[in-house]
Amino acid sequence: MLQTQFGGDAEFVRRLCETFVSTTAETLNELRGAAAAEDRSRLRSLAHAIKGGAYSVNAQRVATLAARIESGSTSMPASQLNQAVEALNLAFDEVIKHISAELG
Amino acid sequence: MTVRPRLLLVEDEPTQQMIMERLLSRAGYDVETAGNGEAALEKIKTGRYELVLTDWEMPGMDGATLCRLVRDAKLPSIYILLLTSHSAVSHAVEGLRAGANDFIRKPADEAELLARLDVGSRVVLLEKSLRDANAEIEKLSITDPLLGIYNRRYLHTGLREEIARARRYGRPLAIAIADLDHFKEINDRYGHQSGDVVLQHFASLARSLLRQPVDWMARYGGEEFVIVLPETDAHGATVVAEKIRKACFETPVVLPSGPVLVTASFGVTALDTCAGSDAEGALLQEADRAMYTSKRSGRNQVTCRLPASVVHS
Repeated sequence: MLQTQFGGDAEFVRRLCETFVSTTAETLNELRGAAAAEDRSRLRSLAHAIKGGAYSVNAQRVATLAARIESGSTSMPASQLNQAVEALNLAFDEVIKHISAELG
Repeated sequence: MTVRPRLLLVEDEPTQQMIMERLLSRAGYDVETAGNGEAALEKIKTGRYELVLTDWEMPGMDGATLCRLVRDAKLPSIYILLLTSHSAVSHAVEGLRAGANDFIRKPADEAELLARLDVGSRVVLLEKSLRDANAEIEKLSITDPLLGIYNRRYLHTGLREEIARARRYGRPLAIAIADLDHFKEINDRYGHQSGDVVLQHFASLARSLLRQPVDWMARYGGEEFVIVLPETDAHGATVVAEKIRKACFETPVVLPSGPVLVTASFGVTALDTCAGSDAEGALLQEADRAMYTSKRSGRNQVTCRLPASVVHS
């Protein structure tokens, strides 16, 4: 699907997916740290970044979960935030599997 | 092909930056990227970019702050398109008030984004052509159209500035007035077009013997010129004037009817001989008097007029 979006430019899609995976893995780590420290401003900013990256590669579930964390960063109770972060983590793992299968 | 302005893309999220950069490059933009507001501001301050496409939400300096700082820096016209994921009208207003020229909501539709950038490109190119036209008008307003040297209008401004600089730093300044000898006879005998050729010949010859771009000359009147020589005393100016006089005397002007020898009379003076508030008027008056002394003494010569003496060469 991404290949279609980018006119069959397989090399670009590969670089894009690799960039998404490495960047998001790093940002997710920071997100977990921010959630543990209840640094809500940082949490919002990191979730926003993950959301943007997820939209780039059509990872809709990751984008939705990141958006939920971003919008709930100031109001959600800590336990709910931690759950949302875990759900985001799992969704990201799924995307990695999907990307690996697609790119080979 | 349409000329696209140079564009700076400011986006902290790497994949979005990749996608946007690809899209813009394919649309013909010369794109450079910055990963945050601070880096973007540094790049924008170099003056290399005319279009900026920036994300609003970035860690550290956000897009709206970047807009404000760019406007505060009073840089020449830069068109800023702000990308924002917020949908509230108040947010758009805040962005525009911060200094953005336009905004577009994320995720941006590619066709809309390119159309809005096209609008920005048109504005940038129009402003640039306006600036160029103004610069050309400014240049024309201080240039003699026939000779390509400064005109009398600039002479007064430029000479005042040179006097102020010389006085501030205690440096010498001299001027020479040159008047072509028997110019009316040349016009009467060979016609005004030939007269123009003679004027061009003299201006070109004199300019070639001046230190560029320190010394400069202006057309003072019909066949009268003022040569301004910063960092030069009366003696140095006399040497320069003598060099031009000699070259003029030794280089005939080639007219359609054949070569014609044209000479010029010079009057030289220097700033330290002209104390007082109207130093510009005094300098021109002294040089003019010296030039008329040259005329009265037989033309084709240089006279330097100092407060207590008149020296011919």
